[in-house]
Amino acid sequence: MNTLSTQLPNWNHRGTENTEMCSVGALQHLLRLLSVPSVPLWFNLPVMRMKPFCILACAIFAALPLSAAPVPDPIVGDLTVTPASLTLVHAQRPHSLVVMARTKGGYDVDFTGTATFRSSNEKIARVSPTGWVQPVANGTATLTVQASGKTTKVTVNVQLPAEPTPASFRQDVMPVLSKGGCNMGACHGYSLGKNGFKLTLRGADAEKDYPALTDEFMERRINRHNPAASLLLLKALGDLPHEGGVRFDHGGLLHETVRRWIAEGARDDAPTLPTLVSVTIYPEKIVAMPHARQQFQLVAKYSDGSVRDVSRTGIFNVNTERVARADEVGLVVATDLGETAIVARYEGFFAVANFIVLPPNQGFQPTPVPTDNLVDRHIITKLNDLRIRPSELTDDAHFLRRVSVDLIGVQPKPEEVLAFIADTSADKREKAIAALMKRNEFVDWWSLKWGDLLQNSRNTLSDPAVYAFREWIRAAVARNAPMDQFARELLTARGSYADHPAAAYFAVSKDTDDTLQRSTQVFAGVRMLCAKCHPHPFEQWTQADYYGVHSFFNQVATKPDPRQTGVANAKTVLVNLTTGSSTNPRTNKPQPPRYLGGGEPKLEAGVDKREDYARWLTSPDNPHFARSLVNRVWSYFFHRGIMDPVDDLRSTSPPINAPLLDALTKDFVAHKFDLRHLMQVIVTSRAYQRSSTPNETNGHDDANFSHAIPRRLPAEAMLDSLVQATGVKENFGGAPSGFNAAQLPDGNVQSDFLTLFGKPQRMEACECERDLGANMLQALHFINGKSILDRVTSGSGRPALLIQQKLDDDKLVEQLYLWSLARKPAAREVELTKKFLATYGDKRAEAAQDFMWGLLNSRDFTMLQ
Amino acid sequence: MKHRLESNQESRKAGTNGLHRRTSIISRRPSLSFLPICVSSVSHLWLKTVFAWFLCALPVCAADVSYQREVWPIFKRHCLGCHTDGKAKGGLRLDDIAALKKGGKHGALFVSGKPDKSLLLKQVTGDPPEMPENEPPLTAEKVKILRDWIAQGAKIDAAPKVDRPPVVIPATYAFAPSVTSVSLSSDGKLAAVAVRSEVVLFNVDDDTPPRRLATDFDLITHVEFSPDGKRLAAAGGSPQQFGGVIFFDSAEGKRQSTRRVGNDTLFKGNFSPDGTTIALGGPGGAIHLVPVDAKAEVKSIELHSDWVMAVAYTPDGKQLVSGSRDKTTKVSSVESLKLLRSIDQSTETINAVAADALTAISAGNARTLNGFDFKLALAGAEVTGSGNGARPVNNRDQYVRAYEAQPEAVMALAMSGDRKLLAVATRAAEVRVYQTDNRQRKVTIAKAPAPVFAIALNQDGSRLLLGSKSGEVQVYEVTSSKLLKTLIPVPVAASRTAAR
Repeated sequence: MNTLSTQLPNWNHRGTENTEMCSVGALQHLLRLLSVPSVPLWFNLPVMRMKPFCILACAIFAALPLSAAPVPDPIVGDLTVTPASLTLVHAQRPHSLVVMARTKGGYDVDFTGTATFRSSNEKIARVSPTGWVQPVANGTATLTVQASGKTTKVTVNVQLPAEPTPASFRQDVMPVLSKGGCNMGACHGYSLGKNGFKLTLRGADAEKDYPALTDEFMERRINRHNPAASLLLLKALGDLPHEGGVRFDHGGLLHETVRRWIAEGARDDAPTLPTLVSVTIYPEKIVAMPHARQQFQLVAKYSDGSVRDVSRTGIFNVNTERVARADEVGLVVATDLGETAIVARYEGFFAVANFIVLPPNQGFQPTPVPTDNLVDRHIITKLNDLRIRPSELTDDAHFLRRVSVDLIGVQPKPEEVLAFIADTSADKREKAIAALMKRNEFVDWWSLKWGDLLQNSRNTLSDPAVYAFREWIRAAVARNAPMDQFARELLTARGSYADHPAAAYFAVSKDTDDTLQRSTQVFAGVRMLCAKCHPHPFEQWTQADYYGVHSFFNQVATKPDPRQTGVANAKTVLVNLTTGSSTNPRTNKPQPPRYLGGGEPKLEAGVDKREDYARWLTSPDNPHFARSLVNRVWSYFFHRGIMDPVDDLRSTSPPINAPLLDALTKDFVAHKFDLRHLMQVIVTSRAYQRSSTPNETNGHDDANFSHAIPRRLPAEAMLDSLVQATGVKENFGGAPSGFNAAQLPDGNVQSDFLTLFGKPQRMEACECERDLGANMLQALHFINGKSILDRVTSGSGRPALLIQQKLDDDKLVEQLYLWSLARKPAAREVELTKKFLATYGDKRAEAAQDFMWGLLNSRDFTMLQ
Repeated sequence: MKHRLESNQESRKAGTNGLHRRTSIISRRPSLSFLPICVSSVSHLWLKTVFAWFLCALPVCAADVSYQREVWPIFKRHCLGCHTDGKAKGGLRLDDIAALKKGGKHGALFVSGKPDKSLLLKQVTGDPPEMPENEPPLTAEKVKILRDWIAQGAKIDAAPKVDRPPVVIPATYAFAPSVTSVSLSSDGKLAAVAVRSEVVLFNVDDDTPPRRLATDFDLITHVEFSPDGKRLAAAGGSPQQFGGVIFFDSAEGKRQSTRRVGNDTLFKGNFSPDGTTIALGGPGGAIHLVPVDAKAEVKSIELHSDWVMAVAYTPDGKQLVSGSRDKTTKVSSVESLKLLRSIDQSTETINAVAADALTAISAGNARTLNGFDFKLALAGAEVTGSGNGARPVNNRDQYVRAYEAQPEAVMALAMSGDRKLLAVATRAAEVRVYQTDNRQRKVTIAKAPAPVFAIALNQDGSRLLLGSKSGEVQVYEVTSSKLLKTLIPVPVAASRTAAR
């Protein structure tokens, strides 16, 4: 071993490898043969990151021959022109046409840019080469659309009012300020404005923006009598120096809209002006060929039922930038295979389209859709849509290790592995799952997760409160408490730990804002922090929503616990029933309790408002609770949630498989919020049990669960598995002796290992606080640190114990593999290992130590493959 | 952590939302006259084009770059926000040919013929480039234009074209223009009102048609008769272009002289009691003392950190009270041109100031109207720091003399010539007149056309003139609050008056 540690630097210098068969060289050689990377996993990460580039490059190269000789894929059926007919009532509001067709191969093809458009009467309606229909005079005209040898007709009915409709501040000018970026957070939307000119962030409040434009400083910013001299226009056009740069093009839509509004007197809107009620995007779902271009159409709907095409002033973004990019007017270009959401924003409303780029169809055979499992049914359906075949199921040993780590936080012991492999019954995987759920470690593991989420920590709570809360959680997990009941108890708890341990949930919070943000994040997967100060930029939450929830929790106050004087962080949770509603700073008025995105209940004075909130939250038809919980639990068994990230759920980051999430949620509610049932549904699915080896159709897929994506073991599971493998315990400072890593009360323990591998300190209600990433320090710790080295060289360590049993080479190798990697070695591995052991001559103990050290440093240990 | 994530998203958004960032890539086409020289042996036209493009990518073959057509638009779009008259960050101005050639405080911007030795190229290239600040880097095409321009000798083919629309004064307005400032002669018989780019004079007691005095300012912000009534000053300017004052002969309406001051409009001000100077608020935080004598020098007092919205002389003419968008009210000395004291810090912009013999008065968007006792406020004030940073010992409670709260943001204050009455205009329809000796309300005019932007009293406080955003002007008899006259001072097209 000494040789090994002194020569360790060589591990980073493959070229300087010693030609003599010294132990290091031999070990390295062997590990390479074993396809166990000699350099541990972390050094390989940059290679993994190269993957998208490779895919991109491959896509580009693949496209070259493709464009030279396109695969014939004829159009089937007629052209679809949207809208199929239209009525135009506003001279300044043209409407676009989107021309689509479908190919035999199942692609959607956009002909909007290449179709020819002809109007039967140019005096009634004109149509531009890009498909924009401009009303001219009242009457009816027929538009003829031709593309790809096909023809479709669209009827246009023009009904202009006798007097031209003036530009509206809210409907015309405000969207321009958003489109021009004027009211962005970095510009005049900043809370203090910029250069004395302040707009509300992203046009949140027209009531405030109107006077800012029209009468601040004696109408300095606009000149109704000489619009071209308006400071607003001169700056936005760049004709006067503007730190924010040029925002409007001369004569462009943005310039013209604002100029016209000023020329018409810069009038405010009548109170009867219809309000925006929704925006819709068309097409909502598209299956595109590589490099396809797709025009999207964004239509706003107003409270009077009128509609308007706002594609030119809406703002289009692509969620997965690798797959596509969007331009200013909703033209999206596919850049790579895959799937992304196209998110269109218009005046605080959002619309989302699903954009899928598929490879050419070369004889794809759909996988039969299973009917016996709701998870597989929806996943396979989606994969067939994407022309992806799922990978095969993983083998028994890999399955058992994966499901053990995921369910009980530690890998299986040799006897479990051997018994499982030996079992020949058809339902052995189901049986193993059921057995794992009955294990004590199951309670340890899931109590740890809840402890993280509920932030049980001595940073904010007293010692006894932390242990009491821990016990309360453990009891709930042990009896499989229904989640609705669990949440209700937490959200309505009060008193000190002695009265109700769950009151710790509130004692953790700094203030009501903290409670609100934690509660929405943990039990609804929603982040509300943005909406505290302004409307949420990516969701429809406003300050009314924020302070509405705030009002439910504002009765709670924490005071030092009079029964525990002198104890650090000893708190008691009080509820002041007389507290009224919280003040919305935007309106300076009280905001009555309002459910998250829901109604405002009529509550009697003097009640504990939390009870009503908890009842609403946990009701079976609540849109947030079960859905977010199901999604979160799912993410513990895969590399991502169905919606991701799991605690930032937004309509603008839609689920990758909505029917799957819906079905799981429905099933979870139908089973009365039974968490173990949910886990069982997930882990018994084939989707969970797939191999990480991709096939030729699913290598690019990293979101649709077509194959397992290797995950690193969480800190506690890694340490407990290491302890089990080597038989050498970890002594934690700051926790009772005998506790294993999953049983620790909180993150306040002295353990370099756990810190290094990302155990959270429980300072945030965010899953992101747990670091599951890999870094160089972890690699160096494994190679040079004591966690592995001391354990394998210990006199009571696994190698020593095995050597004492005087096993023959075959047995020894098998035992080392079983303890380290929870699997039997393959025949070739046995053979190579035996050769390796032989190079140590009579130093058999040292050979076993070195070999186990190598196994524990491999990806097969650190990752769930 | 949460915050960091969100701000990342914000900045990502900011990066993808900006309309201006991708909209105009200046297209460069090779000069066609060049083709026969470079590719004379190639016969096919398309091949010529291909070759021309290829060759013109090489520096030796680069087409002549026009400063006016190609370089200036880049400066305008990406640089002029900061490197311009007034701001001139790094001492660099790009809006003036002489200044452009001179460079900034880091030296010359370019070395003619040597792009790689030129500061301009160093600034806009690199990873990431220093400039443009807080913006995406220039596209490769734009950098190439700058490089070629310098390589070819950085020639200025023509001065940059600047679109500055001329001032237009309609004969008949489509909409009644807002009244921005008003003034009454001492006897209260002659009224002057400012609307957008013109000043209108009318007699209160008869219906002779108003006289319209045109200016070449986009926006008149302040109009005032001199104390002797012989002169009329109109101050203002064109936003972000220039500020200035025009003096008229008030009897004839003839322009006497014009002074340009600074690069943005001036704000409200006040004639000195002796009528020799008008003090005006400036956009840079300074008070400008503009003498009536066209040959005398303009003096300035730099004291606020933001626009000075209003200035008033004390009755003895020795001190100036100023209120600013920086929310402070300050008193400075006319003689020494130095700040005496920052007497108040409001929570909102100060829109108007006034002074009687004993107190400075200020009000603004905070809806409070406060007097400040000069003697107590200025006595023994220990001013620490200097200039804008001056912080006196805080004994505000001892010297503040509060008036009653105001119903809306205060837009203007008017002091009678004898300094006995103070009139207050707000965004509300109610105009209030106070006695300055006891700060009690004396008269309430209940139904003024809100919001009232401008207000004036005559010498003895018997008449009150007000102007509204709506364009209406009214004259009242103060004691009886009787409306003497109401009018829109300029012709307005009939169909549109109703709409407003």
